[in-house]
This record gives sequence, C-alpha cells and structure tokens, in this order.
Amino acid sequence: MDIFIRRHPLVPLCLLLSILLLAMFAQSPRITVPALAGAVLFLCTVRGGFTVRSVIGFLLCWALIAAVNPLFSTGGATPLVFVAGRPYTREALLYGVHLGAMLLAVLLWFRCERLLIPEEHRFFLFGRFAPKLALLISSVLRFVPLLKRRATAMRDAQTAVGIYDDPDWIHRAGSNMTTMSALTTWSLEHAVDTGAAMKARGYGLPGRTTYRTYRFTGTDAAWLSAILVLTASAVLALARGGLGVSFYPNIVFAHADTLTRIGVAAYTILCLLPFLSAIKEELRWCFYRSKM
Amino acid sequence: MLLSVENVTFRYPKASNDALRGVGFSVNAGDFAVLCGLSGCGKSTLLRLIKRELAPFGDLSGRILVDGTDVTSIGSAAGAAENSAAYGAENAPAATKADPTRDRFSAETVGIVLQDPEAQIVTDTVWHELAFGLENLGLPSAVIRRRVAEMAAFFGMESWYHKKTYELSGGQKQLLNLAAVLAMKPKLLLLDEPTAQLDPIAAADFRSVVARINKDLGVTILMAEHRLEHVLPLADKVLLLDRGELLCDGSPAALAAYLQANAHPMARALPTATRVYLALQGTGVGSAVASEHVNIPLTVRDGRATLLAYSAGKTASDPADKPAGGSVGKPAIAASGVRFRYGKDLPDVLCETSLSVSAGEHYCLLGGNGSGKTTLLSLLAGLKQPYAGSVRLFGKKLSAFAPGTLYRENLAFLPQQPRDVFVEKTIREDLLGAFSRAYSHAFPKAAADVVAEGAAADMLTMCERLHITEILLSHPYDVSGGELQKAALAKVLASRPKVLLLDEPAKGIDVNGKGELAAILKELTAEGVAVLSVTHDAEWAAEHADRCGLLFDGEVISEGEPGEFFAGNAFYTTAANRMAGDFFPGVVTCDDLLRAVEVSS
Repeated sequence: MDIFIRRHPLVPLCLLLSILLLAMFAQSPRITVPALAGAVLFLCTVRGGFTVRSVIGFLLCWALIAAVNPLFSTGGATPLVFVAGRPYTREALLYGVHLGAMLLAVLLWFRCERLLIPEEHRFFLFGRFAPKLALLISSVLRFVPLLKRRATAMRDAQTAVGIYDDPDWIHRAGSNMTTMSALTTWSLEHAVDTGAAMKARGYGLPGRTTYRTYRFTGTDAAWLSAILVLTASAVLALARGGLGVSFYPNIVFAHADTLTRIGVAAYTILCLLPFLSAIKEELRWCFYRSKM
Repeated sequence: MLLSVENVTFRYPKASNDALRGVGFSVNAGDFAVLCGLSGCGKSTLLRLIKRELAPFGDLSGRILVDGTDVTSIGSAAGAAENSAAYGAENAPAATKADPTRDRFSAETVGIVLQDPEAQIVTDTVWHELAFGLENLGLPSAVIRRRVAEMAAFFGMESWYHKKTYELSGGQKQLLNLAAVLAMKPKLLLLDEPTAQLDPIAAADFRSVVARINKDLGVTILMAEHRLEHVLPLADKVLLLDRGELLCDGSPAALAAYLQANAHPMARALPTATRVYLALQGTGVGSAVASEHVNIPLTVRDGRATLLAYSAGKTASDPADKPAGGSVGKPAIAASGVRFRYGKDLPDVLCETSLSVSAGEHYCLLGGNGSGKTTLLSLLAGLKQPYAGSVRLFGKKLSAFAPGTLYRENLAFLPQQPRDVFVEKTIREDLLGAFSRAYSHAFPKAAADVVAEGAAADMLTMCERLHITEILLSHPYDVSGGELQKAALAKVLASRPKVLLLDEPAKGIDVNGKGELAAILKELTAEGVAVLSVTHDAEWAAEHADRCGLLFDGEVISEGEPGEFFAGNAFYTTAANRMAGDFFPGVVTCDDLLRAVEVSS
C-alpha cells in the first residue's frame, strides 16, 4: 500500500514525526484520542494493517496497563474498591486507560510507518543524510540471514562429529563456545572476501553517487507546508497550556479557548491525513476500474 | 591486444617457491580464453594480479598490460616508501594503494567474478547490488538506472529484481554477481572457477550466459577452470598452467594434443569426446593428431560423429565385462516411509521416502536442486527428525540410541562445506581433538598421557593413509578444496564409523583430488563401511558408485547399478553414455568407453 509513493519521502516522514512527537509529549486525551483514531482508521482501511492476532494483542496490552495502574497509584478522590486495604480509584483507572491509549497510539503509528514509507524510500532517507550508514545497514541486512544459515550448518556438522555427545551441560556449553568461535572465524574470512569483491567493484573511489533520487516538486512543497502549519498550531496550543490535564485528585481539563480548539482540530487533521489519502486511493481505483 | 602478460614472476612473502614463473601470454580483444591447471597451479594468483585491487602481497617482476595500461603500477617512489613503512618491507603490496586514477581504470576496465557466490554479494536487495558498482564509480543517477535496467533485461532477471539477495538460489546469486560486474561495462572479464559451487544445471546456465556476453557483447573473457568438459568447446584459446609455469598456449586442439603427448594429469579432465578421439588416434592412425589436430571433437555431438565414422562396418559390441555389483547384505542404514516438512503450513519435502544402504556398498543418490537430497541426508544423519516413518541404523531406530552413542563408531556425516567440520586454528589441533575423543571412548580407563600418545599415533596413521601429513599445520581455510575435503574426511573417520554420509563430496575438486577421494572411499567400502553420497554429479556416480538412485519430488524414483541406471536414462546421464549409448549400450563412464573402443578394434 503505497499511499505516499508519489510524494517525496520527506513528506510522510515529517507527518509521522509530528504525530508521534506530539502524542508523546502532550500526554493529553485531546491529543491521544485523535492520534489513536487516526491510526486505527488508517490501519482498518489498508490491506495488511491489522490481523486478528495483532488486534487481540493490542487490546490485551491496553487492558493490562489500564487495570494495573491503580494498583500502584493510589491517588484520586473516588475509590471504586479496596484491594488489600489500598484504594483502587476511578482517577487512577482512567489515567491507566489514557496511558495505555497513548502507548497504543504510538505503537500503531509505528505500524503505520511501515506502510507509509516504503522500504526503498526509508533507505533513501538514510542514504541522504548518512550514505555510509545506509550502505552499512544494507550489508548488515544481507549478512544476518547468511550468518544464521551458516550457524545451523556448523552446529549440524559439529553435532555429527560428536562434540555435543557429552551429557554434561558444562561440556556442552564449552562445545557451543567452540562452534561460536569457528563461526566468528568464518565471518572474518567472509568479510575479507566481501571486502575484496567491494574493492574490485570500485568501492572507495572518490565521488560516490546513489541510484535513487527523488525530485522535490511543488506538490511536495505544498504538502510539507500544510503539515508544518498544522503542526505549528498544535504546538502553539500545547505551549499555551491549553492541552493540560491533571488526573489527581480529580480529573481537570485546562480551559479550551479558541486557539486550543484550532490546535486540536489541526492535530486531528494531521492524524486523519493518511486515512483520507487511503480513502482517496480506494475511490480512485473504484472509478478507474469502472472505466476498464 | 587487450591483455598482455609479460614475463611475470611472482612469489608470496616467506614462500620458498615462485607461485608464477616467467608467465607470458596475450589475449586479443573479443577472445574467450580458458586458463586451466590443477588446484594450486597459480590460476587464482594470476587472475588476482591482473585485477590490481585484489593483487596479493609479494615480489612481482614483469609487466601486465590491460588495454595498453600497466596495471601492476610501480607507482611513485614516495608511494612505495609509504607502503613499505606501513606494511613492513617484505609485505609491501605488489600494487601501490594510493592511485585513484589507476584504481578507477581497473574498476571500470577489468571485472572479476570469484568462486564463492555468497561472499561477493554486498547489499541486501538485487537492484541495489546491480547499482552498487555504478554508485562507486560516481555515475549520475540517470545513467545508473539505465545500465541497471539494461542488465536486468539482458539477464532476464526482471522477475527477481526486487527480491532480497538471501532468497536467491546459488545459481541466481552467481548470475547476479556476473550482472553486477557487467553493469560496469568492463572490457576484460576475469572468472575464477565461477561454477565450482553450482549444480550442473545452474553451471550450464551460467556458462551459456558467459558465452553470450562474449559473443553478443564482445567482452573479452579469461576464465580459470579445471574441469574442461564444458568450457573447452567455448574457448578460442587455452592456457595451461602447471606449478606456476605456462606449459601450453594455443587452441583447444593444441591443448588436447599437448596433454595427450605428455601424459599430463589434466588429460583426464578433457571432454569425453576428445579423450575417445585421442584414444582412437592412438590405436589407429598413429600420432597424426599432434601435428594436425584440426578437428578434434570437443562436444557430445562431434564425439558421436567420430564414433559413427569409426564404427562404420563394425558391429556393436558389449564392453568388457564389468565387476559384479556390491554385496547386497543387510541394510546398514535405512529410511522407511519418512515424511518431512520445514513448517506446519509448508509442503512435504520428503513424502514416503524409502532408501537403504548395505554395509560395504557405495550408494550415490542423485537429484536436481530442491529434490530433497540434502534434507534426506540430514534425516539419515539424525540432525532432523521425520514427522512420520523411521530411520534405522542396523535395525535400531536413531532415536533409540543413548545420547552420545550415535556419533561414536556408528554414523559419520561430512557436510557440503568441509570447512564447517573445523573449529580450531590448525587442522592438526582439530584432528587431535577428534582422535582423542575417539581414543578415550575406546579405552575409557586410559590415563591422559596414554590417550594423547595413542590419539597422536592414530591420527598420523589416518593422515598417512589420506596423504594429508603435509597440510597438518595449515589453517583449514588456507588449503585447497580437495585437501580440505580429505582432512574433513579424516576428522569424521576418527570415530570409526560404520556408515558414512557425504554431501556433494566431489564438488569443486580437480581430477587428481576426485581420484584420490574415490580411492579412499573404495578402501572404506572394502572394509565394510556403508557409504552414501548425495550428488549432482552424474560422472562421479557412474564411475564410483555400486548403486545409484534418483530422488525426484521427494521420492526415490529409480535405483540400480550404475550400468543399468544410466543406460536407462536419456538425459540424466553421463557424457559417455549420451555419446556412445547407441553403439555400446551399457557404457556409462569414459573409461568404459575407452575399453569398449579398444576391445572392438
């Protein structure tokens, strides 16, 4: 699902950073609710967003955080029950619900990131700011599966030579160490060969370029400035204290003036952008298909 | 003249002999040159000297010119001094380091593909791998994209262009390495035994692509190879290296004549058609070959024509009687109705597979890629467990063996990569470890020094038997494939197994190495050891097996002695059988055919 495939990778990156940072720093239901709603709506729309198992996992996680918080925090004016002589309060429970929702929102947006920034774009973003790091990551990603396969082969070979024969666990641990050290030797040898292959293909020559380039177009600029304006108004609301909320002893929201309302509305739009884009793609395909 | 090597002599630091001695030859633009010779003759050293980025350290004299530029580059005096300071005088690299112009020239002009497909891949995706070299050259993005697209189209790799490199098969990996090098548009392509690690089908694919690059794109090729059966027909020019000296430089026919005339060990590596032709010449027309050698047959097709001309007016005869097949006794190891899959939702790799090997028998299990050969072998070795069916060793289930007894005096397994067997710094340490374990198991009450002495004695006996005493002090990664295979065999034999399982034992070994390995296996079977080798190599199976089986789609399809097994196959068979099947039914190996030819003449 490549919602932003035609956009410069900076666009989805900025959007995600705004949403995530605000959700983490504001710690306010006025921000958490749109963040969570936006992520859930988007993940429900796109293919591969949710699986049954992941939904159950997320809900359990949320319920656990909500239920456990009152056991540790006894602040709050309205006790619901007494557990082991300690009050289990309504405020603490709601604080837990909010904390869980916020963590969940952050987790879900990370899940969205995978869908919003295709892997190759992510690689470009790295490559732009740290080309060496990007190449390093690429070669590590290549090496890890190879190492796993080699480790299995070596373990099998050593098992068949009988070095794991001793039932004594200290001996077996020693055998594992031996196999590991052989694996290290292999890795070094492999690195030498790969290094030779890299050098043979001109690695280290001055003036390296990259395969991928993305042109930053007018549309990208428009998208980016819209995101920045929306973010700025949300940040303004946060800075003026309009998003503040205190849970203990009673739940009190800060007074919401016009600027705060605008800020919350702006943040809501930010969170809904991926969802709206996904809907737009769906509709585009519906019309397109009807013409085919 | 694209490549010209002038009187090159090279010696590795601290070595007592020259690795190359007075080697001089030239390769014209557009030629396909094959550099052949036994393992350790200096093929790789020579290729690496031509590719200056990979040039080994050592003393070099002579010149190597690529397209008129000297790539050995005796750079500025300052550069040389700097290098000798950095590396110590004797380890000064042959090529000076800081020379970007020459490095760029070499990176652009000379491409190299090495033996191991895995080790040459740098990045995680196919497209990035193709772009890697071009990025290094600093080409503009548009040029990179065009070249990458061209390469993907030329190699037909569109369908796997977006794949991860670790998902590819060995053959695809090597093709990717070739494509990535070719994208840089080299004028000279160096190939260092590029098909040694590939199965025969993938190797044939690779060779046909190389031939296409040579014919359609005009890229000059220098390929090091010790198996000549398939590359000789492609070659315009063959160079024979022997212990660092260039013995022969000429056409494939000239090489064949030279090898025959001098009874060189590489003669056994010649294509079957050529060997038969030379044998016929030897018996019939005399030594006319050496002088004329115009139309020496190199392929099965030409070989058939030779046989046809020769056998005109003669009746087909049976070859000399063959030794009776191996004793069929009680099965030493047997799998019955085993099923195996790698995951609950994945298809069966093995389905109701049954196989048994008797004591004193060498059984070769053949099969293509993904037929489940290696999986079956790990089931037999007890490394994986079938989810149905059973594997029995002398009638006892593998799972019934007490911990630690299965791999003592019972079962031994030699993996496809013999280096996986080694964990120590020298081969000697590794072998000593294995032999001490075996000795202290045989004599549990022996004192430590007695064990050490006994183990050392056992080890020496084994090493003398396998002729590996000279490499004992080497690091396992520093010896040739054939030597390492023998050393690994020594290690697994330490436990005196009654059943020996081998995965691709003949892969990447030269003719000499194959012969030695086969002789050792023959001795073992004579002592009553059951040997099961899993292989792609029809020639190996035909020459050395007592019984062969074909694993296809998870089942053993046909089984029989090599004679009947291969004679019944039309495609999955040896070159000798494809060539002579019509004239001499039952002939499967080149030696059979030579014998048949002699008998009927």
